Amino acid sequence: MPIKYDNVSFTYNDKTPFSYEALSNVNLEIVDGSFTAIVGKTGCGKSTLIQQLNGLLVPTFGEVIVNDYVVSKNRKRRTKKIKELRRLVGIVFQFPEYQLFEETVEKDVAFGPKNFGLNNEEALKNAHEALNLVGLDESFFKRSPFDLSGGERRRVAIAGILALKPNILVLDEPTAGLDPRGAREMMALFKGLHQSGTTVIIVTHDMNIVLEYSDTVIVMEDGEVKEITTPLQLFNQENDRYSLETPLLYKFVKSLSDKGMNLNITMIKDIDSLAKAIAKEKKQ
Amino acid sequence: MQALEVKNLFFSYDGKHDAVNDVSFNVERGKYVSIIGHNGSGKSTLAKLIMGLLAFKKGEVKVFDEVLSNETLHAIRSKIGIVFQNPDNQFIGATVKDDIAFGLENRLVPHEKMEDIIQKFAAKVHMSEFLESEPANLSGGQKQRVAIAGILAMAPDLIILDEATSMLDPKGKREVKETLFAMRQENPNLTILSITHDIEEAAISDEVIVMHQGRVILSGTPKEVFANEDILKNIDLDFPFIQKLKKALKTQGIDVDNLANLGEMAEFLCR
Amino acid sequence: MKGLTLGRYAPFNSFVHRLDPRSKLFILVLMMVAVFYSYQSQVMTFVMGGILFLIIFVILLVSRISLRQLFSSLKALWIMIIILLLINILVPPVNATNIAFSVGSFNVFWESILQSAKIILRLVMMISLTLILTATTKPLDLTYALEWYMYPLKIIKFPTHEIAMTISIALRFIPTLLDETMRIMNAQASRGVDFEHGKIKEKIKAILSLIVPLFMSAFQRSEELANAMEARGYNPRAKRTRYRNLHWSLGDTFALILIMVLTAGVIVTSAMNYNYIEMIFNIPTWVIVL
Repeated sequence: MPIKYDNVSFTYNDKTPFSYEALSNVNLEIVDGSFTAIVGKTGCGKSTLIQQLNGLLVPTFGEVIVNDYVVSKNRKRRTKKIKELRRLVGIVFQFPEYQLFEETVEKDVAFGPKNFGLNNEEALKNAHEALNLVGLDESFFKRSPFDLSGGERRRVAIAGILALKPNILVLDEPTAGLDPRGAREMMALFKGLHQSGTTVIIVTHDMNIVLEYSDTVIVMEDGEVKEITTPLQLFNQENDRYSLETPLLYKFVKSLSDKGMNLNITMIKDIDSLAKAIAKEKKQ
Repeated sequence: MQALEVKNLFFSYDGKHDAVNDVSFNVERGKYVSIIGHNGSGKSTLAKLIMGLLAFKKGEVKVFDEVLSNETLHAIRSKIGIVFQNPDNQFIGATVKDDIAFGLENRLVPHEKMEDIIQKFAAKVHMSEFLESEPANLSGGQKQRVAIAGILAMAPDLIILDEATSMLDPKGKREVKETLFAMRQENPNLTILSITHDIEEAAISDEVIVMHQGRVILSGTPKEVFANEDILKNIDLDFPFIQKLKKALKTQGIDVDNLANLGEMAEFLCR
Repeated sequence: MKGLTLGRYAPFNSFVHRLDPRSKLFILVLMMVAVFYSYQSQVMTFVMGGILFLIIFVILLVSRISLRQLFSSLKALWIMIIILLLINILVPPVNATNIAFSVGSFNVFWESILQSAKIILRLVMMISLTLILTATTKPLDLTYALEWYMYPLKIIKFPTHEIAMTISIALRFIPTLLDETMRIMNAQASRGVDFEHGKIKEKIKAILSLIVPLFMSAFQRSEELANAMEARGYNPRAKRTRYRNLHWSLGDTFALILIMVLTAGVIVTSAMNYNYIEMIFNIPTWVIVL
């Protein structure tokens, strides 16, 4: 399902004294089946950008096209059944564990599918599948979501979106507040989904995640798309243009090249390849 | 002198499973000690036990030689300042000024002295322009800095950070770390106990304590602790970047084991 | 949501803004009393009403409150005003004799119209007074004023401090809670919840999906807050010093005396049945239509 932002601008509280332009002339395409990271300082418009994908927000100017669905202010262009888009594009917001409300875990996860017309039986089936996917087995199904730990509740919340079987999965800081192991398990889950064909879009501050998992990076600043590139190209730039936190790996590479060592950066993507590159240089 | 002495501490939330299981350790005055471990390992529970926010069933806690009990609760709390994880849920005042003042009011600081103290400590955390700001208009990092100002204003001898940067964006994390660094510079006698997930932070601490399932399984200097590769791998904890790099270089035939930090490594490798 | 000001507080620096919230509260009460006083003669009711309205109008202007703000705060009452008018017209007061106009065989009496006008005028003045208070006083300052007035209740062990602290914390969290509500709404909408359309059953589910998370998060929040407060040495029953002190100034004394004189004037006028029109123009009021 291709995604296209066509000259999109978005202003909060338009035409009031509180108006604020969060997005400005955004033009971009997200390739079907890609794993795209959206990065930028807090306040650059990342969250606003993703909310246009399922119609939570409608562009003030321009339109967002997801497959055949058009999100637009223009009544003639806009798709009637925008609700269906919310099933195809599953958005998991930051700290999603705060959205749980049902009596049991399985009921909460089944809530989404039921809203889209599935009957109770089918919804529960999807729910169980999704829960297994996030690593929560049967013993969790009938428990109250409020009895679980923070990490478990987050997984329930994500299962709630996965149960909708979205084609496009959008994640806003999914590892925020998790311990490193939890973060790794979570990213492994998304990697698996990506490999099964889901388009994954992740908004994150964690550059290590960007480096390790994504194939495309969209850099935003002040509501504009500054660059669409690959992780390697992004981190190998001369200066710290976007105030992004460079992964330690590249910080060290930079300190080496500052001291005169010549390293072929495109060959370095993790610690082992770095060691090899250094060894190679030393031998010469 | 020991800032903190924890002896055989036991605590359970539900009466069946021990969240803190026979924990003992000491923190020497002036040291920066990190406690690492997965969520659920008992780290945060430990912090609350030390503050007397939870009552332990067995064991002893001594803060600067004073034993924690119902009678000494107030006195001990006045020696410790704790910064919690959620920036919003510890911001009580309507504005930055009011929040810093909250602690002062509790400790019966005279009204006439308050304004100066507030100005002084707001400046220390670089929040002077935001004194009249409301929390809704502040970032997470800013709110945490206000929390730090609030506790600094009470001149604590021991500061506990309970995952104080977990919920912050990289900028916020950096701001808080810089503030802590400056604090330590100014007052080398200040003892800091930091519960953290940041393995790099642990790597530069004076001491590291590793907790797992309610127990302390490792403690010592970062070098000592992270040398236990098997144990750490078993519980799925990560290693600091420098250590991983040293190991990788060794397999390539380059020995940098005795170098202390990344700066020295870069120097050595580029010679 | 961050641009929203609570209770319509508008940060200007007018004389009224600078008054101590305690005096403003007291003045509000006094003026409410004055507004609701009644007089024997209809004419005097409107004369006094007019005078009071003029005074309130002047205060409104001094407080830099725009007429637009006034109208929007009255908006909610349009319906009530119309209903009032209708009730009084359909059920005329006893002794109604002067017919204003007729609709077919139905008579609309002047008395009805005037009775409605009297009530409406009082309503407008009441709302204006409240608007003046909330537009010129920060909610927290009002809380301090209330706490000050509740102080004597401490004798009967009324938890004045705890209530004031609870209110001030609640106020501080309102923007935070509003933000959280938006976030939960977005999250549930992304799961297919429709907050606008749907059958009753669906709407109830939709509301539950909003309220339950809010409540659960509020509980967790309170626990964390309580821990933080305790850790910082808070003890509601122990003595505490105060950072924010309210400052009574000469302006407050001046304003208070002014309004007390006004209110006294109102009470005396009513009690002594003074009729200013008669007194000033020396015309007996039965000459005027009413």
